[in-house]
Amino acid sequence: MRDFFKSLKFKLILGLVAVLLGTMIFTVNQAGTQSLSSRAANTIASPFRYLAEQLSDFAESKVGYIVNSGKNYEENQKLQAEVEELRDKLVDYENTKNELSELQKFIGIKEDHADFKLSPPCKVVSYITNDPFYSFIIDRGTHDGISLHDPVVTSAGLVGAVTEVSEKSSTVTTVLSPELSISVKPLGKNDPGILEGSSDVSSSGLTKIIHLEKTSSIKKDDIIITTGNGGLFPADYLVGKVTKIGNASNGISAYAVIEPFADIRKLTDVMVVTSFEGKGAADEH
Amino acid sequence: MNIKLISSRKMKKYSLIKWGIFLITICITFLIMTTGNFIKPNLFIPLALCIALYEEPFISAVFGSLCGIACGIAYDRLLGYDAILILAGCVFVSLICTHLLRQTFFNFFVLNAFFAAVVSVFNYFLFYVIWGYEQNYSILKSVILPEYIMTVLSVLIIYPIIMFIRKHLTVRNKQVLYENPALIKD
Repeated sequence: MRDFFKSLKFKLILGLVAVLLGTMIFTVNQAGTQSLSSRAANTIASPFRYLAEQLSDFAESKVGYIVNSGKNYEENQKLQAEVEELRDKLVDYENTKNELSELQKFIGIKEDHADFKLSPPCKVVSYITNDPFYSFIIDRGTHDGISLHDPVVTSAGLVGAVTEVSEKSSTVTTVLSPELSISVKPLGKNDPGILEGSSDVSSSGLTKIIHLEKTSSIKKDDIIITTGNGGLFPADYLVGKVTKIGNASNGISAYAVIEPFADIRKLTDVMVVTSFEGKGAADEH
Repeated sequence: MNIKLISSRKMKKYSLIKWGIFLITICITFLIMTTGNFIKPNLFIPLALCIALYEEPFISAVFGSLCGIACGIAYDRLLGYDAILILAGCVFVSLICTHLLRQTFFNFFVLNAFFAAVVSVFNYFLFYVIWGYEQNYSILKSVILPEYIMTVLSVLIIYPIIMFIRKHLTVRNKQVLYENPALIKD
């Protein structure tokens, strides 16, 4: 074995390690934008990612019927129970009125975003392997006007933000990740909070509003929207619904568990908001 | 008796075909690793170590770094980080199996389990613990540990595949003995 450490081959291996180390250091220095080496690697990998996605879709459509039949049956039963419950609720005039008023606000939000400049529809090429926060890669980049930190949305609600961008692909960090902090508030209330992912709920596709005061007016089933503070995310965009309120482990604040309207774990197409009113407002001040 | 020697040219040709098939295997593994968003084993670890088991250290290092780069892209980690880790593991396995251990399935299983554990610990600390995410143990429970267990068990599939390729594409400088009728005396 001693001979090996003196051989030319060992020196070549050390050279290989030095090259890899250099690549690492170079990549670190390119924070946000993908380095030349990453871009080259991703360009080589993109056909494989595309093929993997096609395989995944095929398998899901064919095998899904058989594998999920039991789950679908249970879900169907659950939904039927929910429909019956909703029918009962409709009888109550007051509830119907409240529901209607909320729906009107909901529609109003969608109509209020004429200032949005959206990218062409982006396809989710692949999810990052074993990422607990479901980050994913989309097939559009700077070539389509996408830039770093642009918000990513679906018609259902906010998904996340672009955290790495190259010419023809971008990496999206989702609202389930603790890396994103978004200023949010409940619809119709002025009680802002910070939306930040948490590892204990991300696997269920949920996120959290943290550091809430115990006297906060946020309650279960409240609809959460963005405030637009900070200029990174547009104001009044739908995020999700409160599913649970709890006390934080420090005992002095509370938290709310949010179920995003966009099902982060099953995305196929998203859009990137490349420009909106108030973008970068915080940077200007 | 005739002694049939296999030429070094033929050996090289077989080696090139074998390495080509290993490259295709790495591409297929990358496809599997980037399909869907469910928890998967890190198939690059047993694949790289299994290739290294019978190869010389330099070839092991090259395949280790290729597997590592593919792993880095699939996991969207710092390019080069996985490559250095897996390269080190491959050189270690290659050296230890050349000088100290026999190349048996059990030994490979233990080496793979040990190395996968080292990589999992590195990943957990470097990507989650040092960033101070709340309740990191839930990532350990829901991602790191299932991934580790699946990586260890994936040897049961990867080892036979690599051994099958190796068995059919490895030509040793063996001596084939033929009976020469002229020398046989009644």
